[in-house]
Amino acid sequence: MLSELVSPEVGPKIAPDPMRIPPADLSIPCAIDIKELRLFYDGRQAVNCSGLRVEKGSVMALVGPSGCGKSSILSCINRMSDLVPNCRVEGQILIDKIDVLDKKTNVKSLRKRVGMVFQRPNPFPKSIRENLALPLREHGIRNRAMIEEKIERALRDVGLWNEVYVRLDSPAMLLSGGQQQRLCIARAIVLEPEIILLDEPCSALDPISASVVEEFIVGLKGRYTIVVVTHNLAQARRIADSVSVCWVENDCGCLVESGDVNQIFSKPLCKITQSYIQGLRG
Amino acid sequence: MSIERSRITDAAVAIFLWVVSSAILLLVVSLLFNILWHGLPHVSWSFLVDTPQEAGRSGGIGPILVSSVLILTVCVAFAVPLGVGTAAFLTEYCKFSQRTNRGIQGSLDILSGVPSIVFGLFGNIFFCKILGLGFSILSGGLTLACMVLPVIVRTSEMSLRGVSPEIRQAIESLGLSKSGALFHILLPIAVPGITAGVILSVGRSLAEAAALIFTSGYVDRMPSSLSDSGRALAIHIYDLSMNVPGGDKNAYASAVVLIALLLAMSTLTRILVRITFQRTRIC
Repeated sequence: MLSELVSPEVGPKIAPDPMRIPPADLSIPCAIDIKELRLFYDGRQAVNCSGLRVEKGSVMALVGPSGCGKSSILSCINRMSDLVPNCRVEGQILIDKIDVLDKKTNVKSLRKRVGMVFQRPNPFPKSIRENLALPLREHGIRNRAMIEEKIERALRDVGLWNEVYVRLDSPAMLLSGGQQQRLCIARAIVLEPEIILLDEPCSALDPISASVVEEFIVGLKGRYTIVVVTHNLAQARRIADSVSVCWVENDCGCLVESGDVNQIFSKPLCKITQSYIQGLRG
Repeated sequence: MSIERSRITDAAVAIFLWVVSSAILLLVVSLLFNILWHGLPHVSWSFLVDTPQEAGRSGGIGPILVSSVLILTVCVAFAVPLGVGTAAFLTEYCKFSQRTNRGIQGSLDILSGVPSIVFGLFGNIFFCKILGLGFSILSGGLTLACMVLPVIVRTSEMSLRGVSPEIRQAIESLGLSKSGALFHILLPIAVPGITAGVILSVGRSLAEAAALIFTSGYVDRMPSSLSDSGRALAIHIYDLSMNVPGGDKNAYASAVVLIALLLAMSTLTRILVRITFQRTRIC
């Protein structure tokens, strides 16, 4: 018991220092450690991210204008960048000391540990139950009772259980947009990943559905490490513990500043961040 | 002035389209009417089950229906798994360059345009002679399978490629296996498109005569096995109208049966697909 209390994971949270000006505090346990990430499309450098650390169990928001490479950085973390033709990634992304970008890394088990939710809800055209049972079966869970239990837990986590438990076998496509997106989040967390990547999860939803989805993202805080890409600064402020700001410099997306959410919004160190936060640029 | 002019153009285009589509409709309706008018009075239960007599002038088409169904079954049993499998391989497994892909698609398109008589001669040499199957239902069905394979491959390929990129992203992000994704997600999504291709192929096979004359033969007795020769419905119609004086009435009746079979089969398949997939997707 005592050792749990003093273990660094549950110890007092110290805000990570901004990346650019003093270097990162290496004593904080981090779930994702990105080092010298460079991404090329057709041989042309599109993203340059010198360093980014995401604290375990926290929510980090990646913000910035369109085309600054937020989504590209996100897609490298679970190697979705492999699917883009003529895309080359250099550098290091460490998750538990394993280099994600290493050719030998098992992509299937990586994606089980790092779930992802996309901009537009994309449930499979199957029943609600099948949407969650299929990934479980694919990852080797055959026990029916266990599958049912995991499905219920995932649906409860996203607040969908009470809305759908009577019609688990009806088509997922009949759910509303917000419900579909929460189902997609449930589908990602049913595999019990450590990290969840959210690529503008609320941008295709109406404000009310968006706020519901947002609420449940906050509810997942602490249990999962969450990286969320968003255009919406107010949203980043509401849900995130830390914020990283991306910007386009010389046609290449790069990270200009990261830090605690309050620090970024109240005392940004970088000029670009300052004017972006105030809505003067971006 | 210009508004007036565009209104006239609109009206002209509308009239032209009306005339064209009515002409096509009229053609089809008159053809159907002609066949039904001459054929329907002779269709009866005994016509469907009796054996043909006097070279088909009288009697029924029982053995011919059986042969046709058997040939069609052989064709579908070989062409559908092969065609859908090839399409799945082309879209999901092999990563050919765009150029190679276009080459494969082009050659499939050409293959599906090859006259059926050519397939008939090929089947005669390959299945009947080289493989030693002789004039048989098996040879006929396999030849038809070769003939419709390009159509099934192309339609299945197109419907697999039509699966939205969002779904493919979801599949990848969940780390699903290729085969799992194919059987549980991609193929079910593609089924309506694949079915359309299969219905098209079945229609073409059922109405095929040229490819079967040299492969399944035209003996009109009841076939005893798949290696027995058998006469298909389309060949029967051809024979009655071209070679048998006084066979017109039964040729018309057989044509009515052929059209009814085609209609029944496509309707049945569509209903089956709808029932199977209604529960999980919005059609």
